[in-house]
Amino acid sequence: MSTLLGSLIAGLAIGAPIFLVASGLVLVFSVMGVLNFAHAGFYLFGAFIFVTLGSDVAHGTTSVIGFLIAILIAGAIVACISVAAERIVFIRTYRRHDHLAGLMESFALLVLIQGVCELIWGTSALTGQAPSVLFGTVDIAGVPLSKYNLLLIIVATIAAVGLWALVFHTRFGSKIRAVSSDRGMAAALGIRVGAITTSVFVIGGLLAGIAGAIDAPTVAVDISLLNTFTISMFAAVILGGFGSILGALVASMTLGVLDSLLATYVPSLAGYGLYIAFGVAILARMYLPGFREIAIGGGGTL
Amino acid sequence: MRTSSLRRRLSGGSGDTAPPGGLAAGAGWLTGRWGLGHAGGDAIVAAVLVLANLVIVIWFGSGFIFVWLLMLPYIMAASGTNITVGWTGRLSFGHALFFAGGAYVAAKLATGHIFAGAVVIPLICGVVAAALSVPLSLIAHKRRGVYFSILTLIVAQIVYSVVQNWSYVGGGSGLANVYVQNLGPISLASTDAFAWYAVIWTIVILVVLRAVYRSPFGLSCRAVREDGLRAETLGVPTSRLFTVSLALSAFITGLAGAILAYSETTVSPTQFYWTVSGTLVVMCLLGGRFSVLGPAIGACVYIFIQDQLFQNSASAADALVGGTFLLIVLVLPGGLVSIGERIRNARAPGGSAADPDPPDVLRELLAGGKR
Repeated sequence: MSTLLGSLIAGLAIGAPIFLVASGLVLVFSVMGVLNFAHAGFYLFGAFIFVTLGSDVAHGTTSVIGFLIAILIAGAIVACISVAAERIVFIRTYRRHDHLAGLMESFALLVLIQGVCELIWGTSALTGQAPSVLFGTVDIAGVPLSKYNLLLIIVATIAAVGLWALVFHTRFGSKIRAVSSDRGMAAALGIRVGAITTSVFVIGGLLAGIAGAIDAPTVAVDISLLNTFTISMFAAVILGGFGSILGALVASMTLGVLDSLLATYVPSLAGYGLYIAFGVAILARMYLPGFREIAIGGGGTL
Repeated sequence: MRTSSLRRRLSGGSGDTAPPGGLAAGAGWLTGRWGLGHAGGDAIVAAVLVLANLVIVIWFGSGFIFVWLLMLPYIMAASGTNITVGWTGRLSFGHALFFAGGAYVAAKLATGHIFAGAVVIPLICGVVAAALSVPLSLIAHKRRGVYFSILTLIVAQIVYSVVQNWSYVGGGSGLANVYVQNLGPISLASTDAFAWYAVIWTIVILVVLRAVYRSPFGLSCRAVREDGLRAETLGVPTSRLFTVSLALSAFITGLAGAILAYSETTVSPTQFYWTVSGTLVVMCLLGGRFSVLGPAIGACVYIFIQDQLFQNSASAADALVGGTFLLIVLVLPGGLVSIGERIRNARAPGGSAADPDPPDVLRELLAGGKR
């Protein structure tokens, strides 16, 4: 029982950063119609910036408060980078109304981000610092659980609830949904579409940067992280049905938990969780017609 | 609509007139200027490659020839990838599957004795790669855009992780000692002989691709890219077209994979990784995806730049390649081959240096129909 609970919590903690990144990607996709290949690059930027903050401003990560501030700073810097990317690169895409062009431009941006990260931070793996208070385990109902995993889950929960409140219960959120369902109509009604798009990029960049920063102390931060994370991110988005934040949440957590359960109970299949989930979803889409809309490629608005 | 009647309707429009855009047929910008036909363009392509090979084999010797032997398979692979990326307009991020698949088949067949192995084995590799594309087509069905890109990406990744743990194909370390078989009495063991062998394959592939590009099939591919719904209304069997074009694309990429395996003499699972697909896509976009020779030029430029940069400044290489690539995608959507056309547009009275529109294939399709 305690193994199962520990494994579930570990799984949710794996899914947490994937959700943070995937939800931003979904927001951008539904508002812009562009799947941002470079979004994993924002995650990597967040991780690298956090590592730099931790080593250069060493006192920043000795206290929990300093640690959280470092994460927020990393998120804010990445949000700025994200807006710069939107202003320079993606603004051309929706002038040209070309789906493929957006994908190509974002892929080019990914190659550039990879090169820039390599130039600044080199190719060897780095590790982020975190206050020692956050490591170790805490007993909940007699089961020892990793504190850092719980932190990841708490952050993801805050992000999920915050996004839900923002998108479905504020005036700003209804504008986002309006732009995502019909850009031209929204503009005709007086919504400043450009401002909405930019703010969506801010949110997406912020979430991806925070995900990278909060993940940095637990993973080896190097360029190859970009490639592996791109795969998990896309898998979560495609399994979640493109353009649904709830779908992205369910898919990310499913992927994380599946990975963790496999690692615990079927070690020979560890690391294949993503592919198994994907295979099941493809088969379900082919053979269960009712599954089609909720599983893959439904599109639609948030 | 039946394919045969479609073929009859389409062939009138494409056979005797130069394709629109001039540039679209690859060396059209050369042949047009000198009044040469399609065969003239093929001859120019062949002559350039033979001459380049001659110069490299005689002149540069051992230094540059290994870069050249890397360029040739990538020329073929990028040209093959471009059938999907450029012709039908579906951005595939899974072509590493076909490229590496071909390489692995070549590696497994390298030791056995097969009749005329030097010719037959690359063809077998192509066929296997084409066979691999069929289930992918079934899953992807008629989907285009983002969904197709991500799906191909993930399927290729699945194969990557399977290959990495499959001892029959060498697992994580791959296979070594992959050599091309003799061509009858001629030994291809020496580097020079192999360079000629690879050049001949490249010429054959490029000439065939140029012919296919002008054919009704190629025209239909481009029509689907421009406007899938309109093309379907005009009688283009879109679903079958996607399957066949992906299979052809995979065939050529797989064949190129075999040549790459011979050139490097080893194969490794990293060839299946999605970044390899990314490289192929970059080559297509860099050179120009709206033409046949664009990807070939893109492959040469990409490998040359990468080689030069890594010799001089290893750490800045990726950033420079990325920056250049982003600049080209933003400023020059038609790739490097469209520079000439843009200059000509700017010089023409009343012309502007704006992006040249991709050739209006649908109009040509309609014109063929009315004839």
